[in-house]
Amino acid sequence: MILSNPQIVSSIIGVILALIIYWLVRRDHLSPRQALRWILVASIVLVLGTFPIIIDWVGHAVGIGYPPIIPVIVGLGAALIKILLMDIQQTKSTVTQDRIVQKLAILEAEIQEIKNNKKKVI
Amino acid sequence: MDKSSICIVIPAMNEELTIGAIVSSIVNSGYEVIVVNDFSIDDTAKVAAKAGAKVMSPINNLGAWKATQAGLRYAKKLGFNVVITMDADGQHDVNDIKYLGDAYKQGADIVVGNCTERGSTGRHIAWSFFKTINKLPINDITSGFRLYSEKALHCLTSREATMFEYQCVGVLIMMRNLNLSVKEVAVSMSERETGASRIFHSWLAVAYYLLYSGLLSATKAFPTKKERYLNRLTGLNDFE
Repeated sequence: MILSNPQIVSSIIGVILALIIYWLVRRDHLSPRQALRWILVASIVLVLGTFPIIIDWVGHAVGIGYPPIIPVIVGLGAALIKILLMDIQQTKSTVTQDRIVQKLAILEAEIQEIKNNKKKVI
Repeated sequence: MDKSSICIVIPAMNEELTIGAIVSSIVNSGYEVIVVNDFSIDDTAKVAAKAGAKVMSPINNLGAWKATQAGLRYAKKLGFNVVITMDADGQHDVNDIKYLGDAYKQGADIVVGNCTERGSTGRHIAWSFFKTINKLPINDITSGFRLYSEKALHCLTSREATMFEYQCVGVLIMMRNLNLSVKEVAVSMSERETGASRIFHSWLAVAYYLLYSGLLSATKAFPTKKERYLNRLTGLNDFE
């Protein structure tokens, strides 16, 4: 099988993406949990880049006249969902952080109270 | 009402000029005071402690409601059943605490010290606008002079209540969803003499507040079933 130039370019993109993810996990910049999702993305890019005919089959099967738009739409949709999920996660993290700050302030006040009581006793 | 079971929580940010006098007058009236010094750059903490308050100093700025909630959590931890929140700018009169206590004795879970005479026309328009959307039976939603019962305290110290930025709409809707009774009593409020309001310090802040509260009012306009709501809240299994 001889690959055309666009196929070679998109396959290389897939491979580079996979290598970057590998490096990020290796250097502890990305947790394996998140990395798994990105490995999946890289695999999809690699497969679809190497065999773009798959998109044509899908387009034909679902009746889309211009199949190359399929990955664009799916990609945008997935990105939107991911951003929304990230905002949900951020809300949770902010709440947790604020509660820790509150808890710390409570503990500090309690320690101060104990110190004051000790001074009074002495 | 036993004064030793009531704790006064005052969130304060850069209020060194007024906090001392307020704390002293409350302490002299026989109440315990917690001042939440919300990342002040002045001597609020020192002045408050000197006047006899227990002072909490969060390591970053939490904002008016979350600072109040920190105080509520501490008061609850100290074993207080009733908490009254007051502003640190001297707007509220210590002598009015008894009116809030009277309404509590009559069975209210939350008592709001109301003074609808204050505020600009814009604030009144905003109040009636929110009221139309969320159908809350409260006239003065922004009042920081409130009494919370043990039940109210229990849900307001929950994780879900940490999500709010203001004590206005979100907190009151939460109370409504849990079928807690809210009462308003008329109190006097004087104009702020020093410092700036934490919520309405600029037009941009006002716009954000309006959008925030408007969205909260609209999304929570339809009351949910108490049981269903309780299930969603963490740590409230023993609510009843």
